Amino acid sequence: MDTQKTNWSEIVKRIKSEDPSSFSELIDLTQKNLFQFCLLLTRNKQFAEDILHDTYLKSFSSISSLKNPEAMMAWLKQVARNLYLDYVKSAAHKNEIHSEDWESFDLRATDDKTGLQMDVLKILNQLSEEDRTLLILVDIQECSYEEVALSLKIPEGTVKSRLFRAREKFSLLFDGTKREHRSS
Amino acid sequence: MRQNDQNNQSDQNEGFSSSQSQQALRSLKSLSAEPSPYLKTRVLAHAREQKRAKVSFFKKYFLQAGLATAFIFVIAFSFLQPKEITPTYATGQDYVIRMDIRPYKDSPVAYAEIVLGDEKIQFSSSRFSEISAQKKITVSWDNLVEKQFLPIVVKGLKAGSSKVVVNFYDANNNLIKSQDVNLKFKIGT
Repeated sequence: MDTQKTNWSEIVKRIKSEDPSSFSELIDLTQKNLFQFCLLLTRNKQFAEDILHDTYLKSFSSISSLKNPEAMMAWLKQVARNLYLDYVKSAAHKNEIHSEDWESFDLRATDDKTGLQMDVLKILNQLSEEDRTLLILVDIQECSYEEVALSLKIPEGTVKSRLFRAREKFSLLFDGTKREHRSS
Repeated sequence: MRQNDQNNQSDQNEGFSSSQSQQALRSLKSLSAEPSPYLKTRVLAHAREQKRAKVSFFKKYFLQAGLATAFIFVIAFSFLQPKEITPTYATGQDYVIRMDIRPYKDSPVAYAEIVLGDEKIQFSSSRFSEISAQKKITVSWDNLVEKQFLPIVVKGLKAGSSKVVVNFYDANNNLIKSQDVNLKFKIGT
């Protein structure tokens, strides 16, 4: 996705006028990045698709709440995360659990890289939702602090301080995993 | 102090960028995970469905709102319209007013007094021409008991509104009921 050339204002304008081709265009432009975000958040392909599906429907119907069209990606991630949190909350009430589905990540190969990826996924799984989301957005999806602040609705300073703590926790767990690998 | 902490954290965040931990996290960037190829079709179909539902909701809402408004208008008009439309008659012609007296059949009416409201109207009778000079006549209930209507023949003399008042009395001259008949005359044939 070439974000430099995407004219979000134009797309938002067309979505507001309910131009059906704008919906299609928005999905084409964002679904890969957004699906990765949803998948890393949920760790389950089916769950991630459900969240992504509802994110698009929600964004079409509440596009008027998007004040800055250039912040489209951050806004979509904010919608996706809110839907995820709502779903988790209601699932907890119903005693429903979405199991992690590692096959969703297509990690069938057994080379060093996929071994590393699997370790990272497992460590992320041990972190809180907030820490995980920060690391996904900043260190995996390479979003700017400004975008993350928009997605999480917190000030940029808070993003930095929370990210620092999340990275510390991750590093600690990562070092532990490396030690385990060495000893085995 | 807090700003210093944040700067310190920011610096340490920068330090993290070259660490093995971050490189490990970055390795997930290349994860090949694609949503179902049918996801887009499903989303667009649901979006269309939502739009249709929204349109039909508004159609239903406006239809109901329209019906409710029409109903209110009908009710309002029924209240706004005069209960009695005053008929207009031509001056110089005899008209028979047939007043329904059936509602008084069970009342102890002894007589009815017919009073003309003003000078614009007079009684009229071909048999009793002198009646035209009177402004009030009294009719015994005995003469009416077999009848359903009290016939009053009047003639308009001048253009304008006028009225005929009929008072029903019992044997002790107590007024039982009074009924007005409004008339409107215009000059003409």
